[in-house]
Amino acid sequence: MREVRLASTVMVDLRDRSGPGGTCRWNEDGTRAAPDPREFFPDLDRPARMDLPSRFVLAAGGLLPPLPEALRDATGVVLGTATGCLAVDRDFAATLALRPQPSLYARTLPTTAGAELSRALGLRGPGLAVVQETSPGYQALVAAWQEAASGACDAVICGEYHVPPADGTAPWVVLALLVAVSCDPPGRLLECRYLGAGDPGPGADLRDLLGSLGERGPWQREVLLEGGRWRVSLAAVSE
Amino acid sequence: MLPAIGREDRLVGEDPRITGMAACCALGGDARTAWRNLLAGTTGLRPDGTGTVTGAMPHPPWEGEGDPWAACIAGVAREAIGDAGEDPARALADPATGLVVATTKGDIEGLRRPGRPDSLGPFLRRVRRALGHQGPAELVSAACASGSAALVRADRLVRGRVCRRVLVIGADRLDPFLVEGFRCLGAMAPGPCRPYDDEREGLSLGEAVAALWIEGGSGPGVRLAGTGQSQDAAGMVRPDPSGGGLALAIRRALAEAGGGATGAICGHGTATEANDAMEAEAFRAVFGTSPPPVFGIKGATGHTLGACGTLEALVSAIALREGLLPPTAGHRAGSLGLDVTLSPRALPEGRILSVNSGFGGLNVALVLEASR
Repeated sequence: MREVRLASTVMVDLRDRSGPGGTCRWNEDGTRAAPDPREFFPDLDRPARMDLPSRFVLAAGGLLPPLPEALRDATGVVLGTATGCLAVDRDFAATLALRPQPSLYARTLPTTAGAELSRALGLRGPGLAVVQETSPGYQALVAAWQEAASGACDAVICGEYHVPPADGTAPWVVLALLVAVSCDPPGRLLECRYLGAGDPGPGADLRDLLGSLGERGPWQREVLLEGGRWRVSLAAVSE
Repeated sequence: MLPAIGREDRLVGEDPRITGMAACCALGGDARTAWRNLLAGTTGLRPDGTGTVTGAMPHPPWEGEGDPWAACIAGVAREAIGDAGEDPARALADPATGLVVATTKGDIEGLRRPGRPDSLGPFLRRVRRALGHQGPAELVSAACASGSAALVRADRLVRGRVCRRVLVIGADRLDPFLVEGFRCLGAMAPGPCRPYDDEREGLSLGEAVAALWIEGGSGPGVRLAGTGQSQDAAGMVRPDPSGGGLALAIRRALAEAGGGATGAICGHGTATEANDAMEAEAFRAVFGTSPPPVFGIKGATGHTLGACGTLEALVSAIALREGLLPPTAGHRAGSLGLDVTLSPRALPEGRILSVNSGFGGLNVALVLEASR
């Protein structure tokens, strides 16, 4: 197994964007407008017709540090989600009796947002979505860690997107860049260890991983994924 | 900057093996019947009464009380565990038994359910409840490559020593949502689909539940010798016409499997103009002008979406066990430069490569070989 390091994290919600470049705000006026991914990817084709999960994921992906060209063939994208493409599904289902929209149907998959990110960044490693109610972001983190540790790819952008239909909860995206190669800065050693079966209980979302990055010492968290307890740990910051 | 420092040995655990299998699809309510019908060149595709040809499961098993779709999936899964000689209830209650469910839409009918309509989010919990499963579980989606991506996840769970065995389930069912969706994309064939054929006009949809019981260690069964994944990073619906993305996944799978001949390819073979041509390009890029014989099952089962990768791995496993390649239902003649099976033939010595590609440019390749 190879060592895997957490190189970077970013977060986007309706109001803030936080990443290596700092935090900035939009939607100060209280609107619920989704981010415009052309801010980071000016060549995108018809972003206005893009589904909301893709727009949020692209806005977050644009904040990640640039990946070297040589690494892009071996970089994957693994995203977890509890909401998946439900909003798009409902929109398409509503058109069935009238005039089904092909552009909408093509986006009725939970992998759409990750595939858009891969297309924008030119990533050709594994692409996967995990969809479940309990801790989908951590499940994606564990799967991504296994991919990188196994040697199936050298880097993975993983994370969680929560972009529900209009149900009152606010959308957000957290992305993490895992690398199994040397990098500068070196990042923090990440380990994921299976602790055994676990009873159903409240899960966790990946936003609390971000809090860990403010701490310089080692950090660990036990998290319940679907049916199993895992320990996710980060080594102390290297001096 | 993140310069690559090279690869180390990939995995520490034991090779995963398929030791039990079960399926319900348009070709039959069990794997043995489906294989017999596949060998006979039978197609399970039928007019569905709405002007479309689809591959429906023999008796809609989700008609009933409670959660019939989850119960149907659980029934097929228990059969796969029993096929491996294990007691399903005991195996599923073992916390060292993992579960990976592959689907594109889960319970798509749930979208029309009053209350909190959903199709995917709660699906894993429902399947686990129907199974009485206790161990780690995940639901994976990689578009039409979901079923084979689930086998990659099982590989990681077994080799990484998270689980001693893993139940892999691929499941998707027919629904107007899907039929109208592919119809509005212009991807549906007017009649039964014809994979790799010069007169192919598009795909036929199907539905299936396929389940594989995966164990680590040496012994009889079918070994998952290599896995490869890639993304085209090109179009969202149409595959990269160069086949470069799929070729990358195949090369990764073959490299992981180490040396050894590829005896045959179980192709994705959706019978769309773009997919089949892309596959031919990928096979030539990897194997040269004479790729190994290719067979496809979607002319018999329909395109079962998130289930197809699991179902095709199952068919490949039986083909390895029987030493026989099935004919490609719906195929008559093609000029893609592929040796497509027209009738049953002996499997040339070697492994079977099974490939799938999906929307978003997701590709998965699996290398399967008989284990004595």
